[in-house]
Amino acid sequence: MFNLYKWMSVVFLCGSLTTVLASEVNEDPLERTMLDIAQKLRCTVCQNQPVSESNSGLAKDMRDVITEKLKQGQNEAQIMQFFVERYGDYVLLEPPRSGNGVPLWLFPPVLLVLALLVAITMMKGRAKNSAPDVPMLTDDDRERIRRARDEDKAGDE
Amino acid sequence: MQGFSTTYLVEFGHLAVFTAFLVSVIQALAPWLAGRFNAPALARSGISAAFIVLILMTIGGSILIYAFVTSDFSVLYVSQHSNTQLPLLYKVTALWGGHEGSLYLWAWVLAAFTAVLAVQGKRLFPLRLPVMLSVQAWLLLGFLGLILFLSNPFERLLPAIAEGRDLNPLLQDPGMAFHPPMLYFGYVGFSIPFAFAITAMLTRWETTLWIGLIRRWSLFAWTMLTIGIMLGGWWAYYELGWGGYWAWDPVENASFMPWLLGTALIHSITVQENRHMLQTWNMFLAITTFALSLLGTFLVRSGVLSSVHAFAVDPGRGLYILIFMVIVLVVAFGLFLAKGRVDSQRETVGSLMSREMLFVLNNVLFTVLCVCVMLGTLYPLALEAINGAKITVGAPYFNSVLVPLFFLVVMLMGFGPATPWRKANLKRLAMRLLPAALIGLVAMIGMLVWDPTAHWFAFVGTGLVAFSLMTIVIDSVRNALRRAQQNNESLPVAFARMLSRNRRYYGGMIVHLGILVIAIGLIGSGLFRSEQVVLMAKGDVLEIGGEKLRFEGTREFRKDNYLALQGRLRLLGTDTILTPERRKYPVQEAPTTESSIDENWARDVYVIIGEKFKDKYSVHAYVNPLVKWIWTGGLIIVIGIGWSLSQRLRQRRTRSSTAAISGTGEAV
Amino acid sequence: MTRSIWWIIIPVLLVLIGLLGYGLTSNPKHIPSPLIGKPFPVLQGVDLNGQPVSLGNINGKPTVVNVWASWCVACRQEHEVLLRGARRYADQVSLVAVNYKDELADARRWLRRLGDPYLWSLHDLSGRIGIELGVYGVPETFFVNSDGIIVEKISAPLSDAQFAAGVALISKQ
Repeated sequence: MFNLYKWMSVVFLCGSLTTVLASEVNEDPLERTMLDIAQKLRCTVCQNQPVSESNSGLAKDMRDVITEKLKQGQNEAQIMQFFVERYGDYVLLEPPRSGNGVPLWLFPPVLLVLALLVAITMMKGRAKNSAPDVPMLTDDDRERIRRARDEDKAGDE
Repeated sequence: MQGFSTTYLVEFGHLAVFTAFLVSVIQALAPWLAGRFNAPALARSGISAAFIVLILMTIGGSILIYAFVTSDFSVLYVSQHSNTQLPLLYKVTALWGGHEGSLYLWAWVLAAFTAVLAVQGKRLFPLRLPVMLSVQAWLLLGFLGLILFLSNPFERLLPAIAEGRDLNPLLQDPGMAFHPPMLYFGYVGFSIPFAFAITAMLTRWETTLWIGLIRRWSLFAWTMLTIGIMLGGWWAYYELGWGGYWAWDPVENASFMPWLLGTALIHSITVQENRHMLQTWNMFLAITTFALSLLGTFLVRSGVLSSVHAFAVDPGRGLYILIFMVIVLVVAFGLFLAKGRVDSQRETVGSLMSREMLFVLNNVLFTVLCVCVMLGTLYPLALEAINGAKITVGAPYFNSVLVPLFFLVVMLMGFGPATPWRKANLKRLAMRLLPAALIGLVAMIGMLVWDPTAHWFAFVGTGLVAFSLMTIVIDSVRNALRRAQQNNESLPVAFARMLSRNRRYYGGMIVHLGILVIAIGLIGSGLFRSEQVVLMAKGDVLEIGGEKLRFEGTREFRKDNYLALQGRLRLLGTDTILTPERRKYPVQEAPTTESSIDENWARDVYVIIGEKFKDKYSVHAYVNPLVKWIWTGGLIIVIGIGWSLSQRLRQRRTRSSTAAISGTGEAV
Repeated sequence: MTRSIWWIIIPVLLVLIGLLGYGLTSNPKHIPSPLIGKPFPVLQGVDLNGQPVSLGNINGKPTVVNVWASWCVACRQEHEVLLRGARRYADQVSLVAVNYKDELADARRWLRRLGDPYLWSLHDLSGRIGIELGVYGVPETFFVNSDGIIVEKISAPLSDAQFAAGVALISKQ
């Protein structure tokens, strides 16, 4: 029995040590930076997926290349530039704001402004005879309404 | 194994569908023939035709389902999408697991809705029903032609193989099983307002007489589309393992475009019923919403765009659908150009600051939204056509462009109920909205203080959502108070009675509430997500987004038609166990990941298990705040629609002043 | 709503339909290369026999660079074309290759069985050379003129006609 207690306390001690010694893992900051960059690049052999998510061979290779370049000290802009030089603007998940992407970014705000202008102008034109001002209810009116309503109710019963 | 009976059964099904095609021809030509041969009875044959077509399509569909359930691999489509080990539910839903079958489902639903239309029409608009059914028949002919001649699910594989290829593992899932039917109910549902619009233009049918009729159809279609889209997003979230629910993928956009215009349509119909205006807008919206449904069908099945969802590429089918779509568009918009300028408008916008004007702005905003989605989706194609360059238009673009527009929509949502019809007294309006606006401002500042580094979407979004939420709450309470005072009821009773007596209005408010709840979920999960990818050994603890996860080990097991590796992680604090899996389906070979999610109202903890590295496993963990609000908001929307549709026109003593003269009496 | 709005809608419809029709004919997977018109990058490596080689300008002669792999089915299709082309245009162009993400043994066996049209094949086990060249699938072929400029890139199995046209393009300079 003495041995049993000894054995149990050893086990108990070891158990609590495990909790104390359990390693708290953290994400490798380099990997996080790599994934952040990969998230902005499109996997060129996939249907519409960022490089950070794709399981394809090319995406894995691209992630490795990004990691290597980060270790060499390159920054995000340089790495993105590297891929754009070899794969074109297609590899960027967000369309470029210059060159080929200009109409894409310009069109929505222009469309919104135009559409609103057209709508307002057309409606303004139609509202030639402006509706009369809304008259406010006076207390007399309210009294009349209350009386009529009570009569109505009395009539129902 | 299967024997002669099944062989002939499948051929019988095939024959049934072919017969449906022929009968649809009659249905399509009935009104024209009746006019040509001066035989009105011929027109009514279109009505019988509609029922016969439904029966025949049901026979064909049932036989296909039977072939799946009995694992009849002599049917090529069954052999490609099913397997004897497949659970029964998925054997049935495999019917729409591939291109041919899902097209058949489209046509089947179209036939069913047409039959319902026939029943409704016999009672309410018997004179014009043949023309309406003819429109539907032409649409059905387009689909049946594609099915019978280019994408036939009844095609045989003789001699039959012993075992099928298996349904795509991604589709072996309850969410995915019901996502296509819901979507198709939505797409096909919008064919009814389309048919009404076309019939109205062909037969000079005054819009006020039928606008009330399409209200319910439009609401139904919109609801189905909403459910379909939400199911798709929900499924993508827990199944695909990237922690997101919407990728602005071309196929997703294809379902979103009709949804946007459909939303404009259901609001615009209300205005027309109440104020006799926006008729031309409604014609346009009715036609274009359905046209976008067809566009969606084209995009998904033609291989024109690169998408994770696309069906197998086949330009031949794509060409057919394009031609079909062109014909429908040319006829519809051609008619519109010729005859669409409808009725002399009895009413018009009286003042720029009025509820009518807000509805006009609403229409404009949703149309702009729709155009922007279309622009983003088709721009890569257009650019390539012009100068051969290729770019990607991905999620970052759509989020940047569309979210501000949605903010404007949320703002309108807040203004709308407070702004009176005809003309608003600006000072009074401002007073009415002031409390809500102040609360919105407080919320915005609160968010700014809580996280100054967040994207500006967070502050503006929170402020606007809070504002709109408060306008709904304040408005409802104010109305209830007034009612309580006038009728001498207690506040809760007054509130309940108010909700009950004005179901259309308050149903709509509940739907708006649902949208705002979704917006809260989107802001939380879209802007405040935490993500980490780490290697974990047994005992390791990961701290992420305020939560702690301890890796406790793995186990392997076999189930149904797959082999699984399951990881166990303990969420410290709540002590829940998360069990993400990697599954290997022997037949299809591509492994799938099953995420494990612990959800509560504050956040989802979302875990994926990856590859083994020496003695550690790759674990991908997310903490997504407020995701549960998104699905809950969807539920609220459905409740709201249900409430709205349950309104019955009550008997009123003074009927003469009723605004909506829909000529349909109590039926609406 | 005035009639004038239709003059917006009709062209929009026409453009949309035309675009979708065009879409049927285009290949959504094809990516045009930004490297065309630029000098071929100088890349060092080892060939399948372990000898050091360098991609880039080879003796000032126009070069055809083919990217292949033994696991690539389409490459088998193209191989006949390359064998013929190598023989026919031996004095006009140099034909070299990048063996992309392939095990040495598999690559050697493949060439032994089907014939080796190349001067040498640079062994790119990791795929880095491929990324330097913007390779996104196999097979791909670069046509480089005597100045070292990439004149054309074909991202699909070559046909005899394409090979001939490519050679003509890079030889005339």
